[in-house]
Amino acid sequence: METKAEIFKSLKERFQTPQTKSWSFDSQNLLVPQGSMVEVVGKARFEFAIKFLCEQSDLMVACVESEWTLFPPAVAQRGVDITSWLLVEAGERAVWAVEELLHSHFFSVILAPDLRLSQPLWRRLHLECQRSGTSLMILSEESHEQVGSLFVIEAELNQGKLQSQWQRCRQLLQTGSL
Amino acid sequence: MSFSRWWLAFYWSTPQELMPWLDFLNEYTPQIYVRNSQMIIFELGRSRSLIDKDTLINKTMAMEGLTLPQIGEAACPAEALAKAQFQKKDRAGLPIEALIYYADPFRETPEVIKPLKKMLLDLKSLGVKTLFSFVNLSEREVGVRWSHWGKRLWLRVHGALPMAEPQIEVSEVFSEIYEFPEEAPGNNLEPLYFISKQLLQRLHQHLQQKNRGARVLKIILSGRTYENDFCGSVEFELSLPAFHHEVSLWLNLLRERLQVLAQQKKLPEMLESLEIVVSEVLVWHGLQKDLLDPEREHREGALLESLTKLESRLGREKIFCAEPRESYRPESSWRRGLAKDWYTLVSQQKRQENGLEKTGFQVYDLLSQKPLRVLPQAQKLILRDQQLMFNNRWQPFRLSWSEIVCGHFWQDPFERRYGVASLPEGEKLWVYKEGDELYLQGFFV
Repeated sequence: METKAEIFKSLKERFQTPQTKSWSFDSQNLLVPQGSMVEVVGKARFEFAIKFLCEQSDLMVACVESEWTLFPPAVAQRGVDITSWLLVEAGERAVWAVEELLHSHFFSVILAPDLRLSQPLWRRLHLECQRSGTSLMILSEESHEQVGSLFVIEAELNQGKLQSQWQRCRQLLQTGSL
Repeated sequence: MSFSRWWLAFYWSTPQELMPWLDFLNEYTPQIYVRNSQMIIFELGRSRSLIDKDTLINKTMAMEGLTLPQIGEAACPAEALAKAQFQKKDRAGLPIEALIYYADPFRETPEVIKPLKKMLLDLKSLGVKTLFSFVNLSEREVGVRWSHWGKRLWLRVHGALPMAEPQIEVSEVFSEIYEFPEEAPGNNLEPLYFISKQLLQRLHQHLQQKNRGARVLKIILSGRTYENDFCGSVEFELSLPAFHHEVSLWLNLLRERLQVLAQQKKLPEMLESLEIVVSEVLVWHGLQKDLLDPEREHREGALLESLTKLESRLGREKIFCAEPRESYRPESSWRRGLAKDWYTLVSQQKRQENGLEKTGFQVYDLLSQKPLRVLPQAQKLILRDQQLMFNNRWQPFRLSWSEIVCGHFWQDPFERRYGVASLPEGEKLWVYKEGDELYLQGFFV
């Protein structure tokens, strides 16, 4: 059984190859891949995304929600400059809106809470993420097992403190790096 | 390289010098506003052959009897006038007297000037001597002291409230028309795309020669529908949040709109003509494409296309940026800014041009931590025997109060006691008590 530090080290080595770039999320000892779809699951998924964007303050961010519930003053209170985010209330067209934003190749991260995806849609978005270099962060309560996301991070609050870990990192498991 | 609505204002200390300039400028544009016999203002984008301030100065060199006035230029008419009079390059350095132009840039009427003079005296007694200090006053403070009058001015200086401009016509109409030799079927869009491309390219070249760019296009499709013997036209407008000079961008937008109209069966069955009219033009300050960084232009084009598509499909108010707003009520403590403003902000033009930064959400740093998710409308919670109804079942809860929020008794009287309701399964609800009722406002996790 490898320790957390060893897993982190091997992940870091893997992600720092020219093919897969990543952002370092130091406070959580994690590397968030660029140009990929990342699912963040668990009760503290929003806290995770906000904390990550607080550390990576120079990223261009867009956020797509079906019905707008994100509270911008609370995001700003956590140290993120939300005035530079593009916000989209997409209703039933959330997937289409995400696709349009990916086509623009302008954003580094797109946050999409509770995006429902079928397998073909998931593949299409994943390819578009790779092409545009944008990371699509899907924040959902539970992982979409059926679509088989490559990267799934579990975020929970433990006594008010954010704790996160990889739940699944399929690409790495397949290549046998871990 | 940038496109924008650009205003030029001239100021003379003596009114006699104004007349020869009016004759001279009339050659380029008839839409000139004279203010107080000492100032002239006109929009560069609506004039012929004038590209920027320097071309104007060059043209005056050959003229006799023209003395060069104090010139101010800006995207906002009030700012251009103030810059001309007070000879300042950036907005931050303008004195508080510049507010007179924000009150009404095109006229100087007693009903505007009288309350404004009183307000200026009050501001000076408070130590507010520049426009920058005025901007940094809070919206509420301005509203309380000078009522709706002051608040309107404050919003105008912030760019949140547009100024009423006199109705003027475009001095030169750019348009292209194609008449189908035989009546073409409206459901076949391919020929329509092909013709649109040609028309757009011709328009683009025509505009480029005049150093202009299109911001709004009006498309008019005339034809006939046989079922009810309808003979008429379908008109719609295409607009970009900012300018981009690639024709393909317009073509993509037009293509998408035509597809939607065809799906809705709103196109005529037989087409007779297609006309494209430029409704609004902007001055292009650059002469050619950025050859050193073509990738950047491509990226900007792709972003503008995405924004316009999102706006046209979802509605303008659904694509927005968050702007702080002064309100004690959490649900109205921010407002939706336009995507156009967001684009300007991220392209860093606005901050550099204005020299003013908007006040942010910093005030929240002093308050207790707010939840990330807030309901658009607070929901009334049903209580029974120390239990509340949540997720369709009764659940025991523990309440801890954190703060009391009150509105001003003369403006928006209310009192809410905010707290957190912890549920057995770990959920934390942000609730408040108003009167005897408990309301759910948001969720912590």
